[in-house]
Amino acid sequence: MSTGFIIEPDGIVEPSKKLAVIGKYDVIVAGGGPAGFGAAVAAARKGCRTLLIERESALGGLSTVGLVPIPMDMLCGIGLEMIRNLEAVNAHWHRNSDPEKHKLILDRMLKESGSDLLLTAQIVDAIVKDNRICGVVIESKSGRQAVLADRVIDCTGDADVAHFAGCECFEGRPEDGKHQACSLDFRLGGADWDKYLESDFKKNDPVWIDLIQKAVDNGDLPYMIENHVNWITHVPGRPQHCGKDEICFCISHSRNCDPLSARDLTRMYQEGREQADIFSRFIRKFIPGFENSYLIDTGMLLGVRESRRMVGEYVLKTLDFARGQQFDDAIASTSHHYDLHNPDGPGNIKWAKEIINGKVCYVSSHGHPGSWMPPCGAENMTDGWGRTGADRQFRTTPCDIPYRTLVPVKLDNLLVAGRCLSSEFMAQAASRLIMTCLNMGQAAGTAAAQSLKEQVVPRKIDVKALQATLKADRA
Amino acid sequence: MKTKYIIDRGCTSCDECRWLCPVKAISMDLQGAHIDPEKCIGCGVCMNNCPSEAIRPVNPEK
Repeated sequence: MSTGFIIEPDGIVEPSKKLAVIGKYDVIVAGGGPAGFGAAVAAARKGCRTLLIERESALGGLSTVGLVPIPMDMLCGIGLEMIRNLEAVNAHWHRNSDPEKHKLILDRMLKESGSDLLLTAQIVDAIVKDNRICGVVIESKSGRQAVLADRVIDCTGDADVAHFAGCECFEGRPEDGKHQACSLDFRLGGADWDKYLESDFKKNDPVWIDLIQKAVDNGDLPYMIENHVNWITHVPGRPQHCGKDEICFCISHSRNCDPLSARDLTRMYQEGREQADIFSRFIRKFIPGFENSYLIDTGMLLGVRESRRMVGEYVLKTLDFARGQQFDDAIASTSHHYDLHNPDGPGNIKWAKEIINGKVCYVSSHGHPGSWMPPCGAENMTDGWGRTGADRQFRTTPCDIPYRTLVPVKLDNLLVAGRCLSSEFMAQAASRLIMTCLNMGQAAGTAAAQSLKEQVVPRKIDVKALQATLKADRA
Repeated sequence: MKTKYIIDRGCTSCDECRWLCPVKAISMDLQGAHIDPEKCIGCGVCMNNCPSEAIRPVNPEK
C-alpha cells in the first residue's frame, strides 16, 4: 500500500517504515563481480558467515554478464583456482574464457566456500551507526529489506556502499569530472578463427588502426566510434577448425556520459547496441575469416571502467605505477599500465601528464603511448622519475596495491575492493583488470575475517599477519 | 633442437607476456613485444598467456 506520501513543491516525502531484517552476518560483500567473488570466497573460507549480494542474475560482473572474458593480470590464490576450474571444463585458454561456463564455476566455488548468496538484489543504502557501518538496505522482488553484518566489503565497482555510508569519494578526472569511455561488448559466432589468425591482415594491422581510419574516410563506417579494436577474445570450448568460432569484441565506446546516471546508462546501452550492429556488419564485410559471422549478443552489463572511487587511508598515486612502487602494506600487485579509454574522443591513453620537479612530463611505465600520442611524441615520454633518452628506465617490477587503498578514511568496518579502490584517476586506469580486482577482493575478504578474529576495526589489523595469510593462501 | 616461440601474428602490446617470461626474454617497442631467440628456453608460458594468440611455436630443423 502506497499511502502516506506527502507531495511538496520541491519533492515527495516518503513515509517512514520499518524494514524487515532478513539476516545477520559476519561479513556482507556488496557486488558479485571479480572483486566481490574473491572477497566472499576468502571471508567464507576463513569461517565467516558471509553473504554476497549481487544485483545481476549471475556472478562474475563484467567478466561474465558483461562479455569481458579476458581475465588478465596476476594469477594467484582464488583467481588461479578459478582459472584451473575453468580449464577443467574447457572454459579457459590463453587468458580467454567462456563467459557462460564461467558463471557456473563461480556459482560452484562460492557455494563450496560456504558463502550465502542473494542475486537480483540492489543495494540502495548503507546502515551506519556511531561511525560504523552495520548493514545495508536492499531492494529486490521481495521489496525493501535490511541485512546486518559486522563487516561490509564494497565491491560494487561504483563505491555505492561507501557513497551511501557518507564516505568521501572521487568521481572522474579531477580537472573536469569526465569519466573513462564505457564499452558495450558483443559476441559474434560463425567465424573462421584459423583464417583470421593466419591472415596478413592480423599480422600487419593487429588492432585494425589502418582499416578503421580508411573505413571512416571512405564512409564504410559512419563515424569514428573507436580508432582501434581494444581486444578480441576467442571463446574456448567451441567446435574448432570448422568455421564455428565464437569471438568477443571490445571496440564500441560511449563518451561524455556519467555511469552514475540512469539516464546516461540508458543512452550508453542503446548506443552500444547500435554500435554492435554497425561493427558486426563492418567485420563481416572486411575482416578475413568473419565473412559468415553473425551477431550473437551484446553484454547485459555495460563496461564501465571508472565511476566513483572511495577516498582511503592512502590514495594510490599515478606515479606509483610508473615507478613500480613497493609498499610495506602491499596486499596485491599489478603488472598492468596506464590504460585510459579516452573520455574525450577515440583511442586509449597509456601515458599520464604529471609535473615532476616543476616540469611537465608525459609519463609512461613501458614506453608504449597507446593509440593516442602525447604532445611530446612517444620518444620523449618520460619514465616515472621524469627522465628521458638514455637515462629513461621503465619499471621492472609490478606496482603494489597497499592495504590502505581498501580502507576508508573515517568510517569503520567498511572495506572496499575492485575498481573503486582509493586511487588517483590515472592510477585507477592501471588497476582495474579482472584478476587485479579479484586479488584485491581476496585480500579484503581475508582482512575482514582477520579483523573479526582480532576484534579490531579493519584499519587496525596486523597487516604483517594479513600478508602472511595471503602469502600462504596464494602459494 | 628446442622449440622456440615467436610473436608474429599481430601483437596488440598488452604486455602480459613480458612479466611472465621466466628468463626475461621479451622486450617491448612501439611495434609490440619481441622474444629474444637466444634467451628463449621454449617453456611456452608466453604463448599460453597471450590473449591475442599472437605467439606461436617454431620448430627449428632437426
